Amino acid sequence: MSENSKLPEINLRRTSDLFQIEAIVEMQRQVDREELITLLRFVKETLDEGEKLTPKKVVEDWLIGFPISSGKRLLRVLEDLGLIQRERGSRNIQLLPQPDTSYVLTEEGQNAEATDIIFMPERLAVVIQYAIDPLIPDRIISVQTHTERLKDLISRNDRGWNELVEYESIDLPEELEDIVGNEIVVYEGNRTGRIIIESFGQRVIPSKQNSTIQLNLHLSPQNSPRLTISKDSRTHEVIIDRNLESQLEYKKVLPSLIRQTGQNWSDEKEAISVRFGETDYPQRMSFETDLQISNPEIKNLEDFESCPLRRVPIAPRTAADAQKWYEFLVVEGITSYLTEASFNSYVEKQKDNFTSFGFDLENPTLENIVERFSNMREDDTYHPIYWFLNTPRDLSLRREE
Amino acid sequence: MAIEKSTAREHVHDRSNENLQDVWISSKKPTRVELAESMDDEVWIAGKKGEFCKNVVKHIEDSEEFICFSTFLFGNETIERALLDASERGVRVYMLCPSEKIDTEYNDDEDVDERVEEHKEFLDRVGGRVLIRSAEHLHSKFILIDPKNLEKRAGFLSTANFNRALYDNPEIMVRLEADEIDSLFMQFIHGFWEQSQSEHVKTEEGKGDFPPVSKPPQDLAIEISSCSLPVTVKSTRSDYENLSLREETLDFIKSSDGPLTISTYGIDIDHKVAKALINKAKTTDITLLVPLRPANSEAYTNLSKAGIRVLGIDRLHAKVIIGERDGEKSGLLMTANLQPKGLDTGYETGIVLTGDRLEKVSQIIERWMQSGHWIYKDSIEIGNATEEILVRREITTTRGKTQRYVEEKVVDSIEEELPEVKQLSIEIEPEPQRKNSSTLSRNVKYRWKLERPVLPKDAQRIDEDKEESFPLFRKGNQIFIVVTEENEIPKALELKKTKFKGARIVIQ
Repeated sequence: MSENSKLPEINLRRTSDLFQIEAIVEMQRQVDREELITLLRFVKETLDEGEKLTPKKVVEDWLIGFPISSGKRLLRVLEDLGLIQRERGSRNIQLLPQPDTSYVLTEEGQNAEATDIIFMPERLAVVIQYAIDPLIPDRIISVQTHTERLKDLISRNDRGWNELVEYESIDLPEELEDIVGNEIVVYEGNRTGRIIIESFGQRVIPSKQNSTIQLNLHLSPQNSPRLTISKDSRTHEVIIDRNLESQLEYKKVLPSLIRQTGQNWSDEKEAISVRFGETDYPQRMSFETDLQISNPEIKNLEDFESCPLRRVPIAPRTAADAQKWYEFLVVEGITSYLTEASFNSYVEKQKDNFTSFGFDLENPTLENIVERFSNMREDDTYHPIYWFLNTPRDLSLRREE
Repeated sequence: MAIEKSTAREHVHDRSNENLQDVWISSKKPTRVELAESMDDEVWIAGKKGEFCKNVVKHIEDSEEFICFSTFLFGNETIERALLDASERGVRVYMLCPSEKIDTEYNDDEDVDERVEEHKEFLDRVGGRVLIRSAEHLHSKFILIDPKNLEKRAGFLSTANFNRALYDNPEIMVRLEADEIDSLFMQFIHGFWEQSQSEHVKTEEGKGDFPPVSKPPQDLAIEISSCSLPVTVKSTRSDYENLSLREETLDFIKSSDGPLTISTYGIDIDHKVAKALINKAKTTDITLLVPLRPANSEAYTNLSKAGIRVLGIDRLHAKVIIGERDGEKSGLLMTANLQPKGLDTGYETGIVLTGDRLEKVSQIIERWMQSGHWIYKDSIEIGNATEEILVRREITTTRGKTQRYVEEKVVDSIEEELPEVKQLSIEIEPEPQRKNSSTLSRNVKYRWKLERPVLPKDAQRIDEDKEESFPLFRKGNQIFIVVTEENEIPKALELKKTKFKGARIVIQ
């Protein structure tokens, strides 16, 4: 399918239930530490040049003019974040770093340098909201630290005293098992952005949550799919999982949706293939139709709410349909006086509408149309087209031979 | 001398020296003689038999391709039927005329409202079957039948609108020569595409409407510069202008080397043509045939004063100039009046008459003049109005602001009874008041009855202890001065003036 700008945009939406648990988690979250990213680049360059990375090297070549202790401190920060580690065989591996203690990049360090993203490890009590929807493999929508949620966990008893809501301890829901250790994106709460949950600890408890999120999937012929989630009037753009990209390809989804309505989609014409007699006036004039799709479904991604599909291209199914359609357009487009020459160029222009359909069409003649409208009278009056075509022939100085 | 309480009085008023202005006179009421309506199927006059209509209808019935038709007003059932039958057969009928706004400067006849209504009803009836384009200034009157068909083409120029005028008015219609048809066809094409402002369409409710027209197709052949007929083509609609009809008219008047006879419906004294006529009248006999039309009276007065013989023919509408050019008789027939609207702006057509057509048109004009006409007088004393009939201008209106003429007979004497007058003095002469009469008399004898004022019976005398010249009475607040002799009246009036203002003088 070409990047046809005339193809319709697809807007699909559905609602997913939100589930909630409270848990103690060990996690890493993306932090905004640009100075450390810059230092990591220096580390990488130093090591790539085959030199030793030591506190001394840092203050000699990067933090010039600072005491060596500054170099030590900075490298300790990187070491604490797991981004560098002391070189194997280093003499001082168990001791505080010395000016010549040498370091190498860890795998996390290499990733951070490559992606400019640094994760900060945390252990904390959190309330997690998640949705079970194939469009959101990451599942987790919101992570809120427990202390900030604490007030919501307290209820007042009959005597007006605060008391903790009691929860039953459960195992980690199955749907969340495969997110452990993977980088995911969180959209709501106070731990938004990229996080990695290393582990769920004790006290995994479900809590009541009658909330939902709205998923909006937008597909267009020119652009990549766009997924947003909306909750409580807030909307977030969702990074679509790479594994879903193939399923969300516009050229696959559009025909699939149209066929779900029973229409005859032609990949070749990039249009619904229709009989001329099945079309109405607006469709004939625009080569488009509007469809209403009941419960549209994308393979493996479940179904969506019924939705309209506006301005879907339509095309004549057969050469006979195309010829009728062509003649219809020629007649309908005559809205002013035409000389024979301007009629001929007008007819050719109308024919351009049918070029992509690949039919061999015969041009309607002025004579035929005039003849047709000579006999087509309403209330004894001639149709305007009768005058539009006859008058310039009659009322011009060109004498007929 | 005692005063009579009631006397009969009379007075003869001599109007012989009274001057009447802007009048038409005639020894007898002019009547139009019946002339043959058709002259060899080449020239026609309007007439009761409708010969010209029959001729046009015949050509319409024979038409095969299309008809071009221009008129200021339409209202002719016979031609309408023929046009619709032609349309039914597939013959395209194109029409140029005004639609919504009909400019009565072109025509202010008494029945013009009725004619306009008739015209609009026609447009409603035929719109869609006839393609109608309109503009306020379209005034030319002609019909071209199959103008592109070299074998069958025919055309007629008419001074008459295609309505009752074809039966009632002094009008002239001529058959067009082939080259004239070609030229007039050019004018029609230009009129249709470039001069018209709106086009008839049927609305969804089935009513007629006249929305503005759009520009003609760019590649359409519209050419008028080689039009050989004298025409007026000028409007706000187009930059193009052609005033060759005005130039031809002026040249005709200036270059004519013999007597000139001009027939027109409208003439404007401020127009170049009128000035040229006044100038020409110094050396040439000019006869101007016109209708009795108050709107033209200023022109009639001035042209008459300039020595032009102004003759009136009822309902005259034909526009013709006949004279001599280069020693040869020549003529010009046109649809335009001798006015700015017609010669300086508008959409009009003229043809130069020569040969048979000229002779025939000349004969028609001659016969009209012979058969009776009014003579215009800018001023005449009643005593000198020796004709039996005199028409004079009346300032009353019959419809809106339009003036009209009324006819009055001139007689030697008439008597008129005036209402009773209650006056004290016999010296007071009643003001002659003309009755709404169709008779104009050189002498008028007025008769009336004079009643004298008397003292009320229950009035009380109030001067017994005073020494006044006359007895004084009072009734209510009114004081009465009583006289018994006619010669006492001046003294009584003096007393009233000096001492008893508001008192009434009565007879005892």
